Parts: sequence; C-alpha cells; structure tokens
Amino acid sequence: MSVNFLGRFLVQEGVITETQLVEAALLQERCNRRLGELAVFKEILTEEQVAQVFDAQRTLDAPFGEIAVRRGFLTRKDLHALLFSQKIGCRHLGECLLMLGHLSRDDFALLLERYQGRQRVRAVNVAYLLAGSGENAVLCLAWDAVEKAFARFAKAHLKIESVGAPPGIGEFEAGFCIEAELAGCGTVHLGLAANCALADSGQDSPDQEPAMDHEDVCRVAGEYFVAGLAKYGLAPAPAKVWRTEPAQAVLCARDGGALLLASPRGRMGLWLNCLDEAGFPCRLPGDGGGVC
Amino acid sequence: MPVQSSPPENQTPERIKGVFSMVKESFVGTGATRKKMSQTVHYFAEEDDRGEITVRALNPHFIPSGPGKRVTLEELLANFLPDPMIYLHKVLPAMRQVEESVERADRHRNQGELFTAEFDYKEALSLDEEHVRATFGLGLTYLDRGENDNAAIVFHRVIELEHAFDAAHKHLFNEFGIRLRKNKMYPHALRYYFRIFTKIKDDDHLLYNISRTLFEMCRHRPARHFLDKAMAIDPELKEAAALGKAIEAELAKSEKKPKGKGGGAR
Repeated sequence: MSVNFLGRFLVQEGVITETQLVEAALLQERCNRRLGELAVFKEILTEEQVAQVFDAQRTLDAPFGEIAVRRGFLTRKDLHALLFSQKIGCRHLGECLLMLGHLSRDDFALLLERYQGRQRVRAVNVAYLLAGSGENAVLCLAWDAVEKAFARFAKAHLKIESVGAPPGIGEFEAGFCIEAELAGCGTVHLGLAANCALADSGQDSPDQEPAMDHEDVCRVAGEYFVAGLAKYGLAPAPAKVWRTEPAQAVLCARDGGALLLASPRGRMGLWLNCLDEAGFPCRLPGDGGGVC
Repeated sequence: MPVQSSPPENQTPERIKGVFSMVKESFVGTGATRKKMSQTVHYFAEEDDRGEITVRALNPHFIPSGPGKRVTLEELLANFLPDPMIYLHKVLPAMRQVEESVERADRHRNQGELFTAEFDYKEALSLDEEHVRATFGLGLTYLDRGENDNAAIVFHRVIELEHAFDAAHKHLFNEFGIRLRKNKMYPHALRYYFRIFTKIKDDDHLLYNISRTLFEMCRHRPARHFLDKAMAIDPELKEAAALGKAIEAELAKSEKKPKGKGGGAR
C-alpha cells in the first residue's frame, strides 16, 4: 500500500513497530466517540433516538447532528456543545502514539511535518489528475457518496490513493454494482470492489457482526449518489444495487473514470461510467461538456 | 480618633481561595426501601479584589467549573467546611497541569508546530472544558491550519463561554476575530464581533474590525456606518483612512453603474 496514512508512514520509516501501530489504532478507536454515542453517554439522547437518526441517514445525506436537530431531539446549542466535546476528546493516531509513549514529542513534531509535506504534494497530484478525468464532476459525486456512506456506516475512513484503474483486480474479494437511470439521459454505472480487510470494517471486535453489511453500505452510497445527481436537476430514478464478483463490478463500469481508495484497513476500487444514449460519456451541467 | 487597621505597605491582604465542602442529604427509594443518603460536594471559593466571594463546583478532574455563585463570608463559614487537603493534593496539581499544557501548547503554536499545539490544547481542555485561553488557542490552531470546519466548532464554543470576552483575554479575542476574517469565515467573524459589541460598545478597534469585515463582504454602506462610528471615537485611528478611501471608491463605482443591472452596494 502506498504511503497514504500516518501509521503506515511511521512503520515504513522504522519509527514504530506494527504492534505499536495496532495498539495506537485501538486506543484511537476507544477515544474517538461518534456523536450519537457521546450524546447517549451524556444522557442528551436516548439509544432509540440515535437509532432513528441512523435510520434516517440511510436515505438522507446529512450529518447526524443536523438530522437530530431537525427532528427536535437536540437543540442547536446542545449540538454545538456536543461537537466541541467530541472535538476535544478526539485523538489523531499520532496523538495516541504520544500518549502510549511510542513516540517522543520531538519526533512527533518532526515526523508529522515530513508526513504533512508528502500529503500536500499528493493532494495536489490527486486534484490535478481528477481535473483531467473526462467525467470529473460525476466522479467527484461518486467519491463523495462512497466516502460518506463508508465513514458513517462501516467506520471506514477512505482516502483517494490514486486516480486511474487499480493495478490488479485480483486483490479484491467483493464486488458491488450501483446503477442509476437518468431520465432521458442514459445510465450511470458505479462499480465498487473491496478486499476482505475493508469488508470487515465496522466491527468493533473480531467476533462481532458488522453493524451493516457491505451491500447495505453500497445501497446507502447509491442513495447519496443519486441525491447528488438530483441536485444537478438530473432527476434519476432510485439506484439499483447488487452484489457481484469484483471482475463483474469493473465490467459494469468499464471505460470510465476510476479511483483507487484506501483506508487504514484495506483498499477499494471505484469505477464509474456514465453513457448517454449515443454511447458518449455524459457530463454534469457546468462540467465543461454540456448536459448529458 | 479610632485608628483604622490596614495591612502593612507592600503586603496584600489575605484573600480567601481554597476548597470548601458541603454535605448534601437526599432520599433514595420509596416506601420500605426509602433511605437517607449523604454526599460530600466540593466547591472552590475565591475572593476577588473587591472582597466578593464566588463559589464554583469542582468537575470530576477537580477543576472549578460551571457558573459561579456569589456568597457572603458569613454564608461561606456557616454552610461550608474548609477542605485544604483536597485543595493542596487535588485542585492545585490539576490546575497546574492545565496551565502547563496551555503554556506548552502556546509555545508550539508560536513555533508553528500546530499538531503538537492541538494535542496540548486538547489535553488542557479535557481537564477543563471551559478554559478560555485553551479554547482560543485551539481555535487559532485550526485557523492557522486552514481547517475552517474545526474552527467553526470552536467558534460556537467561544461565543457561549462566559468569560471569553473579559479584558484579560483581549489580545486573544482580537486575534481570533481577525483570523476568522482572514480565513474568509465572514458570517462567523461578523457574528463574533457583534457578540463582543453587545458587551463593549465603544471600542474603536472593534468597530473598525466590523467595518473591515463588512467591506470584504461587499456590504459597503454598513461598512461606512461602522467606520464612521470608529472614527467618532478616535479620529486619528491609523488604519481607518485607507479603509475609508477603499469604501468610498467602491460606493462611487456602484453609484456609476446603471440601475437594474445589479452590482450595487448591499
């Protein structure tokens, strides 16, 4: 895996061991509470209310707090106080390594600076490559939908590792297709393939069932993607989502834009193809290529 | 003629500062299982230079927190018991730890080590969520890093903090407002300045900063209104002349534009 996450970077630099990284990641997971968990802990929300908000989030692309406020479960003031508590309790991986004594303060500042420097270069490259993609705005919408769905329902924080087709499909074990019909404009196909390590994310412990299986998470991604397209006035029908072999997922969206995504737990490939009735890649209004 | 007793010169009078406890009694259960419970609650009492005593509850980390309550010396002595051991062994070390974390964080921020600064500010805030300096410091760290979403979370906290706009923190609250504007968080900057304006109406720099923010939001007429207010307080205000010229130039431009084509000063 390319150097995209601080932990991996520190292991590759020989500053920490793999075991220390796992230890820090576990501490981080314990420290970083989700807003709903924190609200229940502080007795501001009940578990039932949290479940209702999560349920709404399956079809509505909005932050947890916003939905809770809209439903009258939280006041705006409560939300701000909760967000602040969450922020000061939140620990980055580097901070957990400091707390565990695996990293000294001097090393922390120095290494972080180097890591950030590399990240800045990568961010520019990814932005440049993304801008060069034929279907960049649709690809950005797809990325946004997938990123949010996996963060909210699979506890997997994805980053774009590279733009372009991943080197090999062989590393992926699960595939999913998302298909959205655009009235009079053709069809958008989104193919997703993930490896097992990522498919296991969302579990709090190895013997626990994931909160939501991958197909459901992809269904949420589909809902968010379709909602994103609707903002451009494309009025798509509800997305169809099905599980398939990784190779089939690639095939259903071949010849379009592709992204290689990574989380600390694993990788994911995202392929996108949107074809209009004449078979040309369609673009979003204002995407430099006219309306599909 | 009676001699008024006064402390010797160069010696400040001893003021009350320490932990006091109170036993609170309550009933739990009902019927046959109903029983009386007593619980010792600790408070931090501090006398200010006007001789007024304020008591505040201690949080689970032994840091005074929450709203203060004014009591008289007689009430304090009648209702509370001094608890110096808690003060010496729990409260003082905790308060020292918070101050050390904030000082370290400020040092890191001044050296541009923003991630280490964030870590230390959060360490301080995890013990004392109401620490004004640490809250501003954390907000400024996020603004320095260009993380406006995180800065907005701290902004909402700052405007709720009771003592954020006390004179003691003037340089911090000024810096925070300026950084909000520089990061183009205009609605936040404006709301922030008006929050201070509710407390301090006659600060020429505050009025200038409101004007500057409005100018950058292309709201030229209200910008001129607030600049005039600032200059009424201090006609020599150094930065005001340049801003005044810029506002006038923009207003002249919008007046020249034909009506109905938009672009007029809002």
